[in-house]
Amino acid sequence: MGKWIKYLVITFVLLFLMDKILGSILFQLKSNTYVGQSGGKINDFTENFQYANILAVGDSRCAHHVDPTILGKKSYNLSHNGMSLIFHTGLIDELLSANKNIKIDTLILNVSLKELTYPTKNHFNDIQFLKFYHGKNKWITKHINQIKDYEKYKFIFSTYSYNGDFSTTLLNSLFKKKSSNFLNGFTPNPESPRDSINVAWQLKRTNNKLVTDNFYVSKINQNYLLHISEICNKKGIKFICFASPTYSQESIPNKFKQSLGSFFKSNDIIFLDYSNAFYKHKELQNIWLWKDVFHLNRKGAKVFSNILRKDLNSTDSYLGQRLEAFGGQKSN
Amino acid sequence: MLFNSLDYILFFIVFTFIYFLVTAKFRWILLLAASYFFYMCWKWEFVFLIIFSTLVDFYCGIKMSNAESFSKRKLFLFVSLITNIGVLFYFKYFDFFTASINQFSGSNFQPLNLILPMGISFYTFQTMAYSIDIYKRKINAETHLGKFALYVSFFPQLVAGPIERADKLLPQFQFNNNKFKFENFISGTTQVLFGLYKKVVVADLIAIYVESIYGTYELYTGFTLLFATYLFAIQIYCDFSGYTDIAIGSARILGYDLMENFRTPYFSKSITEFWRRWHISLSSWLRDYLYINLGGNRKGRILTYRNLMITMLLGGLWHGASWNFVIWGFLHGLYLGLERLFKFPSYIDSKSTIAKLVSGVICFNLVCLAWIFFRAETLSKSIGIISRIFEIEFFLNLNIKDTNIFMSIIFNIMIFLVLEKTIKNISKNKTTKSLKFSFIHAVLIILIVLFGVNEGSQFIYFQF
Repeated sequence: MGKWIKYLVITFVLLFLMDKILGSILFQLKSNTYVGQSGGKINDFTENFQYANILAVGDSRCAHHVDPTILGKKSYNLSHNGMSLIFHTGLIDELLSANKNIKIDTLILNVSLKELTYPTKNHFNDIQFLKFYHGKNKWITKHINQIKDYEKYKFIFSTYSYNGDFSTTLLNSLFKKKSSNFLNGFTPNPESPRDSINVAWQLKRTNNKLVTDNFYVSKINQNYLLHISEICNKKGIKFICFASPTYSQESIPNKFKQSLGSFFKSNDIIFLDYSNAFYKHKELQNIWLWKDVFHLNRKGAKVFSNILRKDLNSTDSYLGQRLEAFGGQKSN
Repeated sequence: MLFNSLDYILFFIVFTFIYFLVTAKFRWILLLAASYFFYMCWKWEFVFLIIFSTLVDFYCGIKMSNAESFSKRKLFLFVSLITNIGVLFYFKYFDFFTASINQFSGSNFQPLNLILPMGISFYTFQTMAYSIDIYKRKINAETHLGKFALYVSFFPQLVAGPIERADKLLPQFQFNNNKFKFENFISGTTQVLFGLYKKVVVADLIAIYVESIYGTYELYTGFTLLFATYLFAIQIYCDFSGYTDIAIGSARILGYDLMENFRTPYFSKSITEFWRRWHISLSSWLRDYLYINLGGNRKGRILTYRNLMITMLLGGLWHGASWNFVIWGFLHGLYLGLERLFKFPSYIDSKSTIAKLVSGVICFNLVCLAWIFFRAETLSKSIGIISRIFEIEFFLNLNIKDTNIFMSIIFNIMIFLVLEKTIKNISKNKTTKSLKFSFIHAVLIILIVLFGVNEGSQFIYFQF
């Protein structure tokens, strides 16, 4: 019996100590890092900027497409590659609801049209990339706990908040601790000679059509968008959604356009649709501006950011045109 | 219920507690019920398939054991084999064969599109081995239906092996009066935790990288594809040996010994040696029940090569109903044939350490070449990947994709190598000093918490 007790006591004590010590070290490292998409950039913005004329949030098609320095000197790109709407909602909630010092004039959110209609299980799991805020932010905590029945119990370990984030936390803090995001959070896709080959190959095999038999914004995504809208209304922030361009046109059924239009209109959210900008803006048809079918490279990002800047500057009249295209009416 | 889920951990803790409370005489009932429950958590209907196989093999076993004439024994062996192979063919190979016939003859046979029962290849091979052993009078038939049913369905090894032999596992069910031993618990827990680490950290992290590269291979340089293939070799090893470790560890805690299935196979100096160290329970099954029955190496040179090739082709097909697996088997058959032709294994054993090292590197690369066919979904994709690797123009540059995943992979491969050596050394010394184990267990738990991929992904070998 003695060896059982000895083993159990030693194991639990060691586990407890390792977890607490490592958890504290990682907390310090993560809190003092200013690079990296799932932590550093947030620290950089909240501590070094605190104010943004325009704050861009979204997935890789926002991270690589929107150059905030073109939108305005005081703009910032807080996007994260590969993340879905639940992640962005959690991030905005943490930034704007919990953080009283942050001031933003306009929030632009990149939305994926496919994801809006059909969020998958993987999309919901993206909230786990904000594990660092579990227990600190109510909205994030609630949604992380919903991933799995046992999820909340895993946070018994303080190191679990850094699950999947250990390597970059360590590397970013050791080697890039003090370097700030000189591009205001923008992560351009560098051009390479293979870009055009990639685009041509992808065009051959990628189905770039919006294949859907569901023509409505899913209820769950509506809730996320409305949550962001509510935060923005409270804070007096102009909230604009946009869909990024692709190399060839995404085929959006009229029925979906109409339902999208009426959703955004009825909730007073401005929506800029660039999903077919490839045909409307001839300059985007240059294959050398694209990294692949879905992503612009650094040169392409400049072109697109200029288009976006013009549209944002004339949002009211643009809004009218867009809504008409969707069968809606200009809101006042 | 997957081994890499909290469900399994809870199930196992509760089960172990009850198991050791029950009188030894009735433990088999509890174990059988738990095994069926474990399987039914996946798809309850398929438990009837296991029961069907169990009943047929139990009946045939008794009949063979009692039969005095050779022909009667042969008849019941035939019934047993036909039933097992028939079930396997119906669920696993029917669609493959009809699709192949349709492709070559232009006919239009409709596929069945059935769900493949989990672990069917494993328990079918296990029961076939049982029948063949009785036929050859190596063992006596089990007369207790319940204990035989437990041999077929023992939950730690039901869905992905090791493929146990009746003479080793069945006697352990006869009257298991094991106490809850500290030594078993310590070494079993070490193996379970290390298996979990291999699966949810090393294999699942690598899977993210490999999936993204193999999914759109045309976008990547030859070096990236080669690197992804090397990583896949580590992924499949950690995935499968991770499962085996959890199986062996779980069984050991309950007081049962399962056979070793892997012995650091990538450190082999030849393909022959690789097959003595990789998926040992299958390779020894193929040797004992197929290769030797075909004549082995006793019927001349040409027939030996033929037997080797048939064994490896069927071994490939065992993994899955696809031409890619057939080619995977063919390549290994070819490697083994060439090694035998040039007497390579004995030649390399007599050479210097450097020669052995070079040979090991070549062997690993040959295994990786075959893994490309194993991993890529189609033949054209496999060929596309191989030709891209050899395109000099596009060879250079390594695309690391996500830095976080990449760094975690590299870090954990290094940790894995250190842990494998450390755990092996501790197990060899048969020490049960609490401090060492407590430290290793705590480290493994922290590593799983920090790096574990929480998607609850399936083990690769579950599909076979």
